[in-house]
Amino acid sequence: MIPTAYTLPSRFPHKSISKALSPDLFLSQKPADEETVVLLDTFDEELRSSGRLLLESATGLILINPKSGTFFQQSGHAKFLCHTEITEGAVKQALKSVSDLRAFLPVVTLVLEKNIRLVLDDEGKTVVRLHCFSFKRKKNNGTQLALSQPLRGYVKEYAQLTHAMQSISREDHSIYEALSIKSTGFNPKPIITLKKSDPIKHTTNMIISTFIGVARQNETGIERDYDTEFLHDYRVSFRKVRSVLSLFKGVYSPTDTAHLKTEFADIMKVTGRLRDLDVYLLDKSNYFSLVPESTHEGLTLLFKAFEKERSVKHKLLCKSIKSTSYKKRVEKLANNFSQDNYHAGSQANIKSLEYACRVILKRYQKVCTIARSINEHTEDEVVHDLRIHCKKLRYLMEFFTPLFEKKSIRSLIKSLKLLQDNLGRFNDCSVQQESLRDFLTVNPYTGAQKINVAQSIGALTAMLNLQQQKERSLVMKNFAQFDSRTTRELFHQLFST
Amino acid sequence: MKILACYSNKGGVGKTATSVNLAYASAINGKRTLLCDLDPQGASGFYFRIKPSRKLKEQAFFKDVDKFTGAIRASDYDNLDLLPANLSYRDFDIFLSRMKNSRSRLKKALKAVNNDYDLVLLDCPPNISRLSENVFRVADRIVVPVIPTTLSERTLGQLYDFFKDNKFQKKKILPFFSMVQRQKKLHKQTMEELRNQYPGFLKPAIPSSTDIERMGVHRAPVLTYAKKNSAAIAYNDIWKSIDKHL
Repeated sequence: MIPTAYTLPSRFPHKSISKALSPDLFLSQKPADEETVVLLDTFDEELRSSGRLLLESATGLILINPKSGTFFQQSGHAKFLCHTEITEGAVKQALKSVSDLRAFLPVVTLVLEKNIRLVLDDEGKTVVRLHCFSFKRKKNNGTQLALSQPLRGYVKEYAQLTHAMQSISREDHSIYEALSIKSTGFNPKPIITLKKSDPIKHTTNMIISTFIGVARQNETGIERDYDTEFLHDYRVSFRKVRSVLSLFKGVYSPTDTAHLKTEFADIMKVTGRLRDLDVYLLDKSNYFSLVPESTHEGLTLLFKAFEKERSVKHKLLCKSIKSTSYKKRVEKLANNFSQDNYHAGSQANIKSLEYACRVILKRYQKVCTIARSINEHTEDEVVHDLRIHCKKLRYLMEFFTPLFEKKSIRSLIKSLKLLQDNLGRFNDCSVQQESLRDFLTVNPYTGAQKINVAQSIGALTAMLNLQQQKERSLVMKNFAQFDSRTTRELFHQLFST
Repeated sequence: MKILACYSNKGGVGKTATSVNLAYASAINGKRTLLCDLDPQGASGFYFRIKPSRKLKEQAFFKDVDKFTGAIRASDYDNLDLLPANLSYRDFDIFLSRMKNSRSRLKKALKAVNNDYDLVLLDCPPNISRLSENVFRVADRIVVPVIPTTLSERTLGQLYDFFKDNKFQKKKILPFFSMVQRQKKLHKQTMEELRNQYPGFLKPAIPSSTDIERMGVHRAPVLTYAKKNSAAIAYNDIWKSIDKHL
C-alpha cells in the first residue's frame, strides 16, 4: 500500500466513488476550507520540474508531491525567502534538496479548497483517508488533486478505493498544465542543437546568441534582488560568451573579435565586485567560525562595510541594466550574432566537429603538460595557470557537448570536476586574501575600529592561507586521478580526427 | 523501542482507560506507538473502533510473525497503531505452558515490530499468570493504576511481594492513583499512607471523572474530546512522568 495522487475535475465525484465502495464502507466528508494561496517556485523551476507544488497562505505553507502522493504542512512563510531562511518544519525538511541559494518567488495566485474525505467501516472507524486539494484560477475550470493515504491493516479497503479512484481520475498529474501556468523556461545550461557539418562560425553565432539570451533572462531578478543566483547566472553566461570569443580563434575577423571582447568585458565590469561581495556575505557564518571570537568584533565591522558596499554596487548595476544605452547595446550585439553580421575570420568555414576536436584536444594536452610539471615546489602561479586551462577545457567540452556521444563527453566533463573544484577553492582563497589586504587601504578606519578590523583581517587571512595550502596539496593527487588511462584513451578516441 | 505495561491484578481500576490515553499522549508527543491489547475482552480495540483480530488466534500470537504484524491496525490518529485482542487470548496461559521458554515468549513476539515503533504499550488482563510473568520480564516500566482504597492497597502489596519472590526488578513498578475522589476522607488518607509506604508513586493522580466514563460513548481517548478536563490533563502529566523513566 503506497500513497497515491489522483487528478480529478474541480468538483469531487462523491456519488460515484461512494457507489463503487462495498455496502459496509461509507465515504464521509468534512467541511471544506477555502483560502487564497500563492504558488511559489524558484526561478529555475526546481519544484515544477519535480512536479511539486509549494503553496503559501495566510495560515502557513503546504508542499504537495503528487509523485509520492504525500503532502506536508507547517506555519511560516517562504515567499521571497531562500530555503535556509524558512522556519523549521515539515515543509522545510521536505524541501531540503532545493538549492539554498534560490529564493521562492510567487508564480500565480490560486484559490485552494482543502478537504478530508474518510472511508469509514461499519464501526465508524477510518480505514482510508483521502486528502483533497481543489485549485481554481481565473478563467480556468480548475482541477483537483486527491491524495489517498493508506492505513496499516486496511489493505482490502484501500484496494477498493484505489479501484474506484482509478476509474475516474486522469492519468496526467501535472497541475501546472491543468491550470495553464506558464513556465519561465529558464535553464542556465540550455541544450543547443548543433550540427557537426555546420561551419564553426554558424555554430559560434548560435552558442553566443543562446548565452546572451540566458544572461538577459536574469536582468529582472538582479534588479529586484530576489537572490544572488540571478547575478551569478548572468555573469556565468556572459563569461561563457567571452570564453567563446577568446577560445574560438579565427572564427571572426581579428578586428571584430577585439571589438566584441571589449564590449562584453565592459558589460561585465560593473558586476565583478558585487559578485565578490555576494560570495563574502553568503559565507558570513563560515568566516566567523574560522577565526577566534576575540576578532569577531572587527569581523562584524568588516561585514557591515561589505553590506554597505554591496548596496552601493547593486544600485550601480541596476542603473546600468535599466539604462537605454545598455539595452540598445546588448540588443544590437544579440541581433548581430543572430543575423551573422560579423566578418568571418580565417577558420570560419571549418566544419564544427573538426574545429571542436582540434581545440579540445589541444587544450587537453596543455592541461596535461602543465599539471605534470607541478610538484611540491612549483610556484603558485603555475597552479593558477592550470586552473585557467582546466576551466577553458571544461567550457570547450560543454559548448560542443551536442556534437559528441552524450555519455562519453559527460563522463569526461565529470572526470575533470574534482580537479576543477579543488583548483576553484584554491583560487577563491587566494583572491579573498588579496581583496582583504586591499580592504584597509580602501576603507580608512581610525582608532580602536582600525585595530579591530585589522586584527580580524589578519586572523582571516591566516586561515584562508592555511586553507589555500591545503587545497594546493591536493592538486597533484586530483590530477593523477583525472589522468587515468581510461580518461586519456577516451580523450583521444573522442577528439582525434 | 521501549515497552511499557499497564497492569493491575485488580479489575476495574481504569487500566484500559489508562492504556488508551497514555498511548494517545505518547503518539501526540511524536512517538510511534503501538498499543497491544492483551486482555481478551478487547476493550482497547472497542475504544478505537477497531474490530477484534480474526486471524491472530491461539498460538499464532507467539509463533507467527506475519500474522502478528498483519493483525496490527492503524488508529484514527497519527503515530498510533493497535494490535486488537480476541477471546482466544483467554487461553494464553495454556499455550504458554506448552511452549519452550514460556517466560520469554512475549519478548520474542514483540521483536517482530522492533523497528516500527518507539513505544509498545501493553494493556494487560487483571491476573497474575504466566502471561503477566512474561510482561514483568519484557517491560521496561509497569504503570499500575491504584484506586485509593484498602483493597487496592492490598493488591499493590501483593504485586510488590510477587516481584520480590520472583526476583523481578521492583523499580520497574510505577504506581499512580486512579479514580480519585478528593472529597472522600478515606481516599485522601489512603493516598497519604501509600505514598509514604511506596515512594515510587507517580505524582500526578487521575481524578474520578464522567468524561472518562464517556469514553465508551465517544469511542475515543478522553484527550481528543475533553482536552481541558482535569482527568485528561492528569493523563498527559502522567505520560510526561513516565517518559522521564523510559
